[in-house]
Amino acid sequence: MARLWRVARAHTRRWAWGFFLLLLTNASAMVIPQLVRRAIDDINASSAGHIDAASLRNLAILMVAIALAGAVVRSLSRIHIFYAARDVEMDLRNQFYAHLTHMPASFFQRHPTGDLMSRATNDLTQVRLYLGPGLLNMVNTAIAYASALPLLFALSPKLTAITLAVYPPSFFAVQRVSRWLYQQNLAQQAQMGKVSNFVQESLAGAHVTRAFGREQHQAQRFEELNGGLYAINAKLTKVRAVLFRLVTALGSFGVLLAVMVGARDVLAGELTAGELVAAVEYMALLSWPTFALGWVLSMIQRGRSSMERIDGILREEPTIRSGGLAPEVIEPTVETRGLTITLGERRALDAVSVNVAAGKTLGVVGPIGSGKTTWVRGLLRLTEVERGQVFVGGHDVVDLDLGALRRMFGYVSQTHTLFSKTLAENVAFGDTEASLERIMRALTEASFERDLAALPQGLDTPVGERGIMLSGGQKQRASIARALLIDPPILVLDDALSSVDTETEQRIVGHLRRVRAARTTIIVAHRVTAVQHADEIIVLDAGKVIERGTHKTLRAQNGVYARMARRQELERAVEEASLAADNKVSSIADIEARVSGGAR
Amino acid sequence: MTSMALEGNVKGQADWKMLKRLLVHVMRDKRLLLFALIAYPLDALAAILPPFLVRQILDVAIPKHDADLLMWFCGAYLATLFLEYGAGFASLYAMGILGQRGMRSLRSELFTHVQRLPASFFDRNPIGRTLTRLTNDVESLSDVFATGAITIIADVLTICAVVGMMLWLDVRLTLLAFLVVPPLVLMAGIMQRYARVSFREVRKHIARINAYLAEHIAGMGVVQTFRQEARTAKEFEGLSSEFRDANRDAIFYDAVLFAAVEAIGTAAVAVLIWFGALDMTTGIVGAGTLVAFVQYIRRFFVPIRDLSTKYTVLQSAFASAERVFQLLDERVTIVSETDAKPMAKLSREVALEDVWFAYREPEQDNDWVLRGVSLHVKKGERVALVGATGCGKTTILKLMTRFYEPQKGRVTVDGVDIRELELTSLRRAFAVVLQDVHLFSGTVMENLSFGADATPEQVHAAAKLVQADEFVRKLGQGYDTQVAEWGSNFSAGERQLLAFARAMVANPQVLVLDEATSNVDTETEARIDHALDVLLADRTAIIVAHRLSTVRKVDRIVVLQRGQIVEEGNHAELMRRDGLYKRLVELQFADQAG
Repeated sequence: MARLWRVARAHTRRWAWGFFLLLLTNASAMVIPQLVRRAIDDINASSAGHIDAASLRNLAILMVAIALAGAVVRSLSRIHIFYAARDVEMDLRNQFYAHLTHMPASFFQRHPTGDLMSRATNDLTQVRLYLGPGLLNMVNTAIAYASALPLLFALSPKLTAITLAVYPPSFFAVQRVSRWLYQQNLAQQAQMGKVSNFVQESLAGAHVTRAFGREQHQAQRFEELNGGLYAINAKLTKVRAVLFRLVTALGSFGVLLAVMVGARDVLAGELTAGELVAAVEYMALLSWPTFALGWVLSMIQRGRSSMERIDGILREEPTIRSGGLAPEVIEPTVETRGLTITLGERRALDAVSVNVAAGKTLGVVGPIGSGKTTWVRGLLRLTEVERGQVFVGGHDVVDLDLGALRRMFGYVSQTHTLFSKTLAENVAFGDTEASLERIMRALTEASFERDLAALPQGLDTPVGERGIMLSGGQKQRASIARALLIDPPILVLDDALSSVDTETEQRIVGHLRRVRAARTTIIVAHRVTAVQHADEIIVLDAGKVIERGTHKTLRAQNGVYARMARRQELERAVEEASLAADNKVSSIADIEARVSGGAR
Repeated sequence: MTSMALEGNVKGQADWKMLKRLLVHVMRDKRLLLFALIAYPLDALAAILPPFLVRQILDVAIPKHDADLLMWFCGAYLATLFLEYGAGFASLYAMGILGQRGMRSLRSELFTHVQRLPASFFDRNPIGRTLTRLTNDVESLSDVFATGAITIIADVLTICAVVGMMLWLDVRLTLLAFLVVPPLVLMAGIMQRYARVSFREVRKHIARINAYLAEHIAGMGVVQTFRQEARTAKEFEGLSSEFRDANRDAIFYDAVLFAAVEAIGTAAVAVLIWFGALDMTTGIVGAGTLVAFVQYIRRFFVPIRDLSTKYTVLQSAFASAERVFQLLDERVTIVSETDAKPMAKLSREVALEDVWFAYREPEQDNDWVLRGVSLHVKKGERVALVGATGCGKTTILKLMTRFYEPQKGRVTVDGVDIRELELTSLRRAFAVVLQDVHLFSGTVMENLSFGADATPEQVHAAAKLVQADEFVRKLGQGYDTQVAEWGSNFSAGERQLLAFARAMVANPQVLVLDEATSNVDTETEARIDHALDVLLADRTAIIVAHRLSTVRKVDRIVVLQRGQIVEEGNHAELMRRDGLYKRLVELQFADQAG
C-alpha cells in the first residue's frame, strides 16, 4: 500500500482540488432543501391570501443558480478525482511493465503470461476503482453525513433518529450483498476460464475425439461445465436482482417512516409542511451516500488485496543482476568451463566445457531435452549461471554489464517470437533506426527475399499476433533476419532452422559462411546438414558432451552423430527420390550418386 | 442515398431475423416468460405510485387534518413498497434466468455443432477464432441479460407511465416541467453520443494495451536479448497515456451527464415554484404535487441517462450474435446418412477404390493429393505406407476414417461404402494414433480410457503391454496424475507411449498409425519399438512409417510418390525388385553394419 500512496502523491494537486470541490458540491446540495422549505411554507401561507410573488421568484432564481453552480462543481470534482485515479493507474501500469523488462526467464516460468496479465488488467482496475469511485464515495459520505445530520437535527430530532435507525443497518446489508456479488463474480470468471480451456482443448484435439468416436462423451463433459456456468450465472442473477432493488426499496422505506412520523407532527402543528419536505429531501440526500459506502467498502477491500498482488510482482528483485564491467571492446570468444545448470530438480547441464575462438563456428546437436538450449541461454545469462563457468571475450559473464554482454549476441531462439507489427518493424526490432537497405540486406541473408513478393504489402505487411500471417519457415527466417540486422559479433541460431527445408537451410548457412566469415557463430540444430561445416561439433545427451569433433571425424566414429547423419541422409534420399519423380528424372542410380556424395 | 437506405433496411431485416433466432433460445420456458411479462408492468406501476402517495399525504391528508386518511395512505405506501420490491425482483430475476438459460442452450448448440463440423473447417479457421465465438461472443450476448440492458423495453414502459401519471396529476404543471426537460434531454443526447464515441475509444485503447502487454510478456526473452527494455517501456508508456487520454474524455462526459441529472430535479422545482407563483388565477401548486413532480422528473430522467450504456451493450451483443450465428450456419458436410448402418465386425477388408482427393477444389493438376489410389488391406494384414513428405500417406489415413471425403472413387469396408456406415461406429472400429499426440487435461487414467469406458484394470494391462505403465507409476500420483495443458508434463516419447496405450485400451479392429518423426532419446526409442510390436500383433493395421525398422515389421509395403502407388509388395518381393525400396533398405543395412 505504501507504494500506492507514493504514486498517488505525485498527483497531490489534483486530489486536493477534487476533494475541495466535493466539499463545495455538498454545500450547494445542502442549501436546496432549505430553499424548498421556504418556498412551500410561503405557498401554504399564501392560501391565507397574501402571497409574495417577488420573493418566490427570487427563491426560484436562487435555486436555479445554485443548481447550476452545484452541477459545475460536482462535475469538476468528479473529473479531478477520476483523472487522478487514471493517472495513478497509468503510472502503476508503466512501472509494472518496466519492472517486467528486468525479470529473468525463471520469473516468467513462475508467473505465466495469464497470471501477469490478470494483475496488469483486473487487479489494476480494482486499484483504480478503489482510488476513484472508492475514495470519492467514502469522502463524500463522510461530508454528506457531517453536513446533513446537524441540519436535519435542527428541523426535527425525531426524523434524525429515524434516519439513523434505518440507514446504517441498510448500509451493512448492501455491503454484505456486494461482497457476495463480488465472490460470485470471481466464481463466474473461474468457471468461464474452465469452459474456455475445455473448448480450446477440444478444438485442438477435435481429430482425436472424432477418431475415437467420443463426441458424445465430450459433449457431456461440456454440458457439465456449461451447467456449472449456468448455475453460477443464475445465482449472480439472483444476487444482482436483490441488490438493485434493495437500494431503492430501503431508501423508499426510510422516506415512508419519515412521512408517517413527520405528517403526524405536521398535524400536531409541531412541524410545518415545508420542514417535512426539507427533512425528506435531506434523507434523500443521505440515502445514496449510505448505499454507496456499503458498495464502496467491499471495493476498498478488493482494491487493497489487488494492490498487494501488484506489489508482490513489483517487489520481486531480478535474480539475474547486471555486473559492473562494461569494456569498450569484447572479443567475440565464448568459453564454458564445467558449466553445470540445474533447473528445478533436473540437472540440465553437467560439466560442459566448450571453447569457441573468435570467428569460429560451433555446431551443437543432440536429442530433445539434452541441454542444447540451456547451454546457449547460459551464454547470454538468460538462464542464471554460476561465477567462473561462462566467459565471453575472456570476461566472466557474471561480472559483465548485462547490456554489454547481450550486445555481443544475435540470438535466434527456436520459438521465433514476432510482434504484431509490420515485417520491417519486426526485422528492425533491435535497431529501430535501421535503414531500408539494412533491413533488405538482413532479409536477403536470411533467404527471405523470395517470399517478400508473395506478401500483400511487402515489407509493410503486418505479420499479425505472434506472426500468425507468416508460415513457420517465414517466421524463422524473419527472426534470423532480425538477429542479422544488428550485425552481432556472435551469432547464435538455437534450432532456428528446423522449419525450413534443407535447401533453404543450405542457402542460409552458405550466406552466413560467405558474407560474415569473421563472425563467431553457434548453430544448434537437429539436422546434420546445418552443422556439417562447423569448425567444431559437440553432441549433447542428457546434459553431457558425449562426442566432439568435426563432421568428418564424428562421421568416422560411428557414434550417435554418425547414426544421426546416416538416418538423415536416408530421409533426404527418399525426399529427393520423390523430387526426382517430379522432375521425371527417375534414375535411381542418379539419386544414389547424390546420396553417397552427401555421405562422403 | 437510396442505396444507403436500402442497405439500412436490409441490415434492419437481418437484425430482426437474428433477434428472432436469439429469442428462440431465450423463450423456451414459456411460464417464466409469462411471469416476466406480468412482472414488468407491475414494476412500472409500482414505480409511479410512491410519489403520488406522498403528494396525497401532503396535499390531502395534512390539509384535512385527517389522521386516519394519513394512515391509509401510509399503508398504501408500504404496500407499494412491497409491490415495487417484489415485482422489480421478479422481473429482473425472471428475465435474467431466461437469458442465462438461453445462453446455456446456445453454448451447447454451438459446441455440439462445432464438434460435427468437418476437418476442413478447422483447416480454414484458426482455433482462436472459433474459441472466441463460443466464449467471448456468447458472454457478450449474456451481458445483455446480466447488465439489465434487456430492460430497455421496460424502461420505455416506465417512462410512459411516469409521463401519464404527471399529466393526470396536473396537465399544466406537466407542460411546464417539460419546458425544462427537452433541452436537458437534448443535451444529454448530445453528450451521450460523444460519450459513446469516447467509450469506444477507451475500449480500443485498452485492447491495444492488453495485446501489447500479452505479446511482450510472452516475448520478453526477445526484448531482453535485443536490449529493447527501455524502448519498449517507452512505447508502452505511449500506449498507456493514449489510453489515459481516451479515458479523460469519457470521464468528462460521464461527469457532466451525472451532474446534469442531479441538477435537473432542482431546476424543475425552481421553474414550478416560479411559474406557480406568477400564475395566481388558476390557483397555487400544492407542496405535495411539487414534491411528487420532482420525484417523477428524476424517475423520468434516470432511464434516459442509462440508455446510452444499455444501447452500447446491445450493439456489441448484436455484433456478437451475428458472428455466433455465422458459425452455427457453417454447414456440417460429413454426417451419418439417415439410413446409415452401424459398422459390423470387419470380416474381409478395408479398401480404397480408385480414390482421387484434393484438399481444396482442384483447379490444376497440382492440387490433387491422391491420384487414383487403389489399396486393399485384408483383415489381419499389416500395411506400411512409405514415401516422401506430401506424397499423400497421411491423407489416406484421414480418408479411411472419413475425416475427409474423396472427390472421386470410394472408401469401403467389406465392400460397403463408408458413407453408408454410421459415422461413430466406423470411427470406433479404427483407432488412430497421430504424429503429434494430443492429450486432454484430466488424469492419465481419463486420457487412457478416452476411447472406451474401460476399467482401471484394463487400462493398467494395456499400459503394461506398451511399457507405459512403468513411467506412469513413477509419477507423483500414478494414474491419477493430472496431465498438464497440452500434455506438457510428458516428454515427446512418453506422449507417444501414452497414445499407444490409449489405442490399446480402445482395442480397435483396425489400427491406423502415423509414426512420430521427432527424435527421442535412445532408450525411449527402444521402448516405442517394442510397444509397436505389441500393438501390431494380430491386428489389421495401416501405418505411415518413417523408420525402416517399423517397415520391416509389416506384411506389405506400399511406396507412394506424388499421390500414386509406385511400388507394392512384401519386404522380400520389393527386395527382389530393383526399385527405390531396395536402395533404401540397402542404406539401412549399411547403417547397421556401420
